[in-house]
Parts: sequence; C-alpha cells; structure tokens
Amino acid sequence: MRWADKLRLRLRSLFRHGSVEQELDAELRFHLEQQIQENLAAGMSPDEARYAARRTIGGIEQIREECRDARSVRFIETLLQDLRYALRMMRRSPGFTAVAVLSLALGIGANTAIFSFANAILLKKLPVTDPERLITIGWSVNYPFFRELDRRNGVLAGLAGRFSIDLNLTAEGSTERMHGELVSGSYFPVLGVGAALGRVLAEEDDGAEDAHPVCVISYDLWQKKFAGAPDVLHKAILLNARPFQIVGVSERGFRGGALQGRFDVHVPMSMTGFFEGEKRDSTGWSWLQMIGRLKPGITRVLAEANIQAVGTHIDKEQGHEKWKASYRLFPGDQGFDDHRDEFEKPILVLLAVVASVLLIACANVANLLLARAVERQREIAVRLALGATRARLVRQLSLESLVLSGVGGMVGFLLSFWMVQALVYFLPSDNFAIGLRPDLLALGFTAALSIITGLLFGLAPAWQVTRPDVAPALKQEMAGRAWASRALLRRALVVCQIGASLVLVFGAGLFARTLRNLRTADLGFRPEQIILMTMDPSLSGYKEADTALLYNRLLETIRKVPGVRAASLANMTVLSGGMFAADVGVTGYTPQDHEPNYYLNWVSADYFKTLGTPILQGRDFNRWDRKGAQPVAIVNQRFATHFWPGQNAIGKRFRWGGWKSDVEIVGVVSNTKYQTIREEPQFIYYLPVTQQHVSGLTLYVRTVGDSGRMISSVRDIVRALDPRLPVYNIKTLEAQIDSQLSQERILASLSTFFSTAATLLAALGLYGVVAYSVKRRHREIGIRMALGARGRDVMLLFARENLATVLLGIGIGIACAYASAKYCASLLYGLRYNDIATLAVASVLMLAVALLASFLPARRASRVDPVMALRYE
Amino acid sequence: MGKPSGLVQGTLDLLILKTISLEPKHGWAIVQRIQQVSAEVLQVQQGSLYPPLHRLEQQGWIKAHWSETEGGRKAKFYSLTRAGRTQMEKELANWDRLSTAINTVVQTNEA
Repeated sequence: MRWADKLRLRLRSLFRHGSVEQELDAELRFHLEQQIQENLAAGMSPDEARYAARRTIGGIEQIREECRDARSVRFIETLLQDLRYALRMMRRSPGFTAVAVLSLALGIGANTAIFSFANAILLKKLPVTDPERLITIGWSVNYPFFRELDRRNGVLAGLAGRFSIDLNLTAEGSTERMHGELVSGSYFPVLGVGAALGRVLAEEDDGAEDAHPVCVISYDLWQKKFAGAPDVLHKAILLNARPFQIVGVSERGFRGGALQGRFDVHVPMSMTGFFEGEKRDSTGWSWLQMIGRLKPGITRVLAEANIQAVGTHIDKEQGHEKWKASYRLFPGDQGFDDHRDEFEKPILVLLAVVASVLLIACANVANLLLARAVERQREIAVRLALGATRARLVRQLSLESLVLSGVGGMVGFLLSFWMVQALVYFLPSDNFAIGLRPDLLALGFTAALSIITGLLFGLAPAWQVTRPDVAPALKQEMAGRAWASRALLRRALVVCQIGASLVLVFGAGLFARTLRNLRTADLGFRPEQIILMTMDPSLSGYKEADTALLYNRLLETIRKVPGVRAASLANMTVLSGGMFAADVGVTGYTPQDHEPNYYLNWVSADYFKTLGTPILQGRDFNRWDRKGAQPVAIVNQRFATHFWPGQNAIGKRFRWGGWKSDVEIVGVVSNTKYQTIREEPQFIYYLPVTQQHVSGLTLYVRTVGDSGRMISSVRDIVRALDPRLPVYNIKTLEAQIDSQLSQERILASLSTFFSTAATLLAALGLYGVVAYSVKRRHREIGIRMALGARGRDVMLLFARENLATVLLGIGIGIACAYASAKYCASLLYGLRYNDIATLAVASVLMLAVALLASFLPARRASRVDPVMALRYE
Repeated sequence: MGKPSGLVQGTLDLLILKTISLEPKHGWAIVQRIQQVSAEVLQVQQGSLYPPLHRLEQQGWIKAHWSETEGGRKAKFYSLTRAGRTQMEKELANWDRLSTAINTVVQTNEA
C-alpha cells in the first residue's frame, strides 16, 4: 500500500506539475496570512504585520525550489524537459533529422534483419527437451549396429535412430506427398517429445518387422489436413497406398529431427521394409542416422572416444572393419541437416557488412551533429556562462542523440520486417519454411543497438562542443585551436567512411563476380529451357511392369507435343545437391587408399540430347538395351581417362554391384557438373533405366517457348495418364541451379546493396564537410578573390585539400580490403581474394564518387562574390 | 540561510513527526507548537519547515489533506501514517540514546 501511495505521489509530482505547484502556493499563502493575523493581534500596524510575517517565513522562491527538490523527481523532471527540448530541436531542422534518422534506420534495420537470420539459422534449437545435451553421430549405420551401440556405450542416456523418407499420404479424399521419418522406438523418449493427442511411438512399435502399421503425425499436419479433429486417431489413412493407424499427434512445434526440415509423419522402423524395400535388420546397408542424449556430466569430447571405440568394435564383429568408420559426434541441438556450416560464414560476413554500414551511418550523424553544434555554439556558450554545468549540457546533448537513434531504431525495426521478407525470397524456400521474422530477441537487439549507436555518435560531439572556452564563442569567433581540432575530427571520420566503403565495394565486387562466374560456369550441359518434374509410381502402388509401361507412354506422348525438343528420364537431378555413388571394379586397376566417389545416374535414352551434353565417342542408350541383354554403360571423360588412360574406353568392361555379367561401355560423354557448380570434374557413369527397375525418376523436357506454359501442358499429360499420380519438384533446371546459388545470391545482392548505401553515406559525409568548410571560409575566399584569385584557383584550393582526405581514405581502404577479403576467400569462385582488377575498379569508383561529392560545394566556393563576402561581416 | 537556527541536524524531522503525532496540524500550527512547547528556545525559520514536510510526505511517513481550520479557512493538514509512527518511534529511541550519551559525557566532565 505504502509503495502504491508513494508511486501515486511521485507520478502526481511529475505529471500534475502545475497543480502541485499551485497547492504549495496556497499552503504558503495560508501560512503568511495566519502569521499576519497573529502579528496584528500582537498589536502591529497592518504594514508592519505583513512585513514581519514575510521576514519570518523567509524567501518564498527558495522554499518553492527546495520543496521541488524534496519531491525528489527533479532528475526525471529535467529529463522530460530535455526530452521535450530534443524533440523540438528535431522538429526545427527537419532536413537534418530526416537524413540522420534514415541513415540510422537503414543501419539498424539491416543489422536487425541479419541478426534475425543469424538467430534462425545459427542460434535456434530443436523444440525438444534440453536440446544442448543432444549429439548427432556423423556416420550412417545399420539397424543391428545401432542396437548394439545403444546397449554397449557408457556415455549416452539414450540413443535414437531416424531415416528421412518421402511418402504419399491419402486421407480426407486426397493424396499428398510429404516428408516423414522412420524412427526407432527410442526416438520420442530420447528427444523428450510428448503427444498432444493419443500417444507417441514407443519401443513396442519398433518390434517385429512389418507388424506395426502405425504412425504419429505432427501437430501442424493435424491442424492443416484434419482441421484439428479430435477423432483423428480413428480415421483411416493410407501411407503409400497401405492402411496405417494414427496413434497420436506429437507436441505442437515439433516437426522432426531436423530444425530446417518439415517431417510431418513418423513411422516406426519396424515398417522399414515397406517403405524402403530393404529389411530393417539387414547389416548390408548403412542408412540409419543416430541422435543421442549425453549422460549428465559427460562432455561431447569425452563421449566421442567411447563411441568411436565401441563403434569400431561392433564394426569388427560385423566384418566391416575395412570401412574405417569415423564416429564423430556433433552438436545435436539443431538435429540433422542443419545449415549452420553452410551459412555460418556468409552470415558472419553479412553481419560484418551491416555493422560497417551502421558505423558509417554513425560517423555521418556524428559529422552532422558536429557541424550543427557549431551553429549552437553561442547557445551553449551562453548556458555555460549562466552557470550550467558541463555534465548537464553533455547529458542534454547525449539525450538529443539518443532520441535520434531511438527514432532511427524504431523505423529500423519496422524496416527490418521488410528486409527479412526480402532475405527469405533469396532462400531455397521449401527447406526454410521456418518462421523467419524479427522476434522479441531481435527487438532487444535493436534496442541495445540504438542505445549504443546513440552514445557512439553523440558523446564525442557533445564533449567537444561543451568545452568551456566561453569567451571566444560568445564573440562568435571560435578559438582557432578548437576549430582546427574539430575540423580534424570531422575529416578523420570521413577518411574512415571512405575506407570502410571501399572495403565494402571491393567485397561486393568479389561476390558479384563470384555469382557471375558460377552462373556462366561451363556445366557440361545447357540448362536453359529444360523443365523438370519428379514422380514415383511405386508409392502409388505400381508394380515393376506397370511402371515401365507408364514411363514409356509418358515419354512417347510428351515427345509429340509441339515445342518439345527432347524428353528423357533420370534418377538423379543434376545440381540438386544430392548424389548417389557406388563402387565399380575394373580388372587391372588397383584401388587407392582414398578412393574417389564414382557417381552414378540411371538415365533413359535421349538424356544427353535433352541436356545438350555431347557424346564424344560411341552411342546413346537405345531400346535394345533392355533386361536380359548385355548390360551397358556410358561414362564421362574423366571416368574413361581415370581407368584407361590413353586408351579408347569403348568396349571396355567393369564389374558393378551384384550383377552377374560385366558392364560394357558403349559411349563416352564430356564431363558435366554433378552435385555442385563449384566441384571439379567428377567420375560419373550412367546406366540405362531400361536394364534395372528404378521407380522414382525425374522427367527432363527440353522445350522452346514459354516454360510456364510447357510445364502446365506436361503436367496435364501426366494427369491424363494417371490422375492419382502425384508429381513434385516441378521447376525449370535453371531455377533448380539458381536455388543452389542462394547463398551466393544473398551475398552478392546484399553486399552490393549495402556497399552502395555505405558509399552514398560516405559521399554525403564528405559533401557535408566540404560544404561546411566553404561556408566557414567565406571571408577568406572573398579576400583571396579580392586579391586576384580566380574562381578556378579557389576550386583547386578546395580540391587539393579534399584530394588528400579522399586519397588517405582510399589508401586505408585498400590496406583493409585484402585483409578482410582473405577471410572470405573460401566463398569466392573463379577469382582470388586479392583480385587486382576488382580492387582497381572499386578504388576508381570510390575516387569518382568522392570527387563528385567534394566538387559540388567547391564549385559554389568559386562563385563567391568577393564584395558580398567581405561586406557580410 | 534557511536552516533552523540552534537545531541539531536532522532533528527537525523528529520534531515534525512528534508534533503531529497527537492530531493533524497545518504548517503554521506546527511551527507555533514547536516554539510554544520548547518555550521559544527552538527557533524555526518558518519557511524552512515546508521542504521537510514535502520530503516526509514523499517518503510516506506523513500524509496531507485539505480541511477547514477553526477560523473556517482552508488549510493543508498533515497527519502521521502508520509507517510514520514506526519511523518516529525509531527516531525517538535514537534520540534517547544519543541524548543520554551526550548527557553522560557532559556531566562526567563537569564532575
């Protein structure tokens, strides 16, 4: 109660300022009158009585002042006063305010946006219990291995297995394709994820193989597909055309064991055979990914030694010691397939870029404040002379800059929503469906940033202008020394701005050229005008013969469509980041210690024609390459020269997989990029889809004309063949390649944008400095011209002075450019970090912008009318 | 200027609290009362009473309300809050200890 009363009183003193003062006046008046009456009663004359009363009570104004202090809201009162004053100052110079607020908003907004991005990708964790205690093991294993490791290790409180699958879910009258996970019985308990409805999967669901057609769906799927119906547990659903029972809905927010993924259906591993066609308990395939929870007190490093030892032992028992498996442990707080490694460096680079932009913006505002402070010199001098303390003035001036940065921060925070939207646009969207937007953490970050920047650009000018050399300022002549040091500070700020901008422009140049190099890199095929579409008939219940039939009909129909140049099928989509490698055996070739990957793709006839990859020797696959005929392969040049250097590879043979007869090479094609654009030429061989049943294939169609229209007509053809067959990953090959370049695109676009902004800010800063010095030296210019200097001479005078500033900035920029670019070396492609041409272009660009920025005010100096200038004083 | 003459530092608060502990009083009455009771020994510069009053109010030890005097005029009356009473007792005890100590010292010296 007492606290509430106190608060009420304080607030009253603060906000009902007027009425509190009135009340005090009334109280004192009453006192005075009471005393006058007393004096009159004692026999004084009225005048005497009044005079004596006044004397006994003391100085009214002093009492008032002391009472105000006694109310102890003095500090806040003056703060509010300062605040009002600051806002008035902002309103009074809207131009200055707009430039300052906008440049700060740009800087702060950019920092908030990149911070949100960093937060989502580097800092966010799986929505499970205690994610920091989770580890993932960097090696895929078979199921019996996983069981043994779980049983024998001494460092994990629990170990779970998972495998991501694509499946078709049929429910509520429609079929959808989605991502799911095959999980061990320990999966939900180890992650510590519970059920929102029903139950989660448990050990008994992962019992006898093929005996548990049950699943748990995600909260999101429950809401979206089943509209949150409470009876979802009794609904009949089909997974890949087989009835499954939904036994539960997992906790809200949980979407599987990968932070950046969306796994909406969880199926026990006992059903592995149904989904993958391989027995769960087979030791012949390494497929299962492991995630475990560390025992209390055990560190990741400690656990790694134990897991490695136990793992190696189990491998030996299974006869797999020659794999030399490395069981490294990684932080599991983001689960699997996190994008930390991929995006960590770009994000750090971007953070550095936006931090530089903010610093440049700060330097600008500090510069503007310094210039303005000169105009306020008299005001400040008067206040100092009247007895204001320096601390008080510094406080007031700092508050003014804090208000500026606060407003800038607010605008920046709003701006960051839009910037994040723009950022998301650059991302490979389907994997980043995470809610990426500035949150409370980002808001806190913005607030902290605003305060820091406010102090950063505000304190130095405030300190400088409150120098207590009052007399000269009052005479409207700044002391020569103060002027010189201030001018020096302003030039130093501009030098830093130019230097930092040059580094940013150089970086932007490197990233932009990297992107261009990647885009124009020789892929070994022509990606333009190719559309892609993936399907998997076996998921809809197709058998082998029907699948082959369907694909044949599909290709025949599509090839007849006007505008289609070629059509074919392949198992792997090129440059999707995915890969499939399998060893080959070549007589007379001794495998090396570190055998490279031999990449494989199952393709149909016309694949190379569709892609535009030249067949260098031999022939394409044709319809005689069918089952039962001689197995054939086409290999790329690198593959051919690797195994048969200096020989013709056509007709050569190699052993493959479990096939009885050797595969004969019938063609050699030129090298193509397989997994990424950055890769060196790889060893690739192609086998015909007609000789082995491969169900999931991607259709490649080369077209002329509008890709969008062609996509819809190809889609119609598929729908006409089988309306229930889902197709997915529908896009152009160019779009597919582009989505691989998202990281590079982000870097190139954002660094270009921000370096442009930084350059403009620096130019603005330089312009301000020169314009101000022209204004200040008006009289000097007048005298020079009166003595015979021509306009051109005056211009040259200013140009010389500024050239020094600009060149110093560029010099510092060049020195820093290489050092910072070296850190980014691994992000570049097709050029080195110390690319001299890029640096030269950046420097010349910077020089041109800087000269232009100083030329405009210098030209004004050359037009000074000496008569006017001299009469002015 | 303005400090109560001949008053030990900090004792004005105690005097105010004690003075209004019996009944609510307005500022002028408090001054009169202090001078009356102390047989005019304690002289308070009248105006200097108000800052401590306002401070004590902010501290929540006394509270103020406007009311009519016997002469039918409106005046601001101060009265003790419960917290103020506790505070007064604490300060009284302090004062007792202090004055006893000083007395002892002074009398010992005289003897």
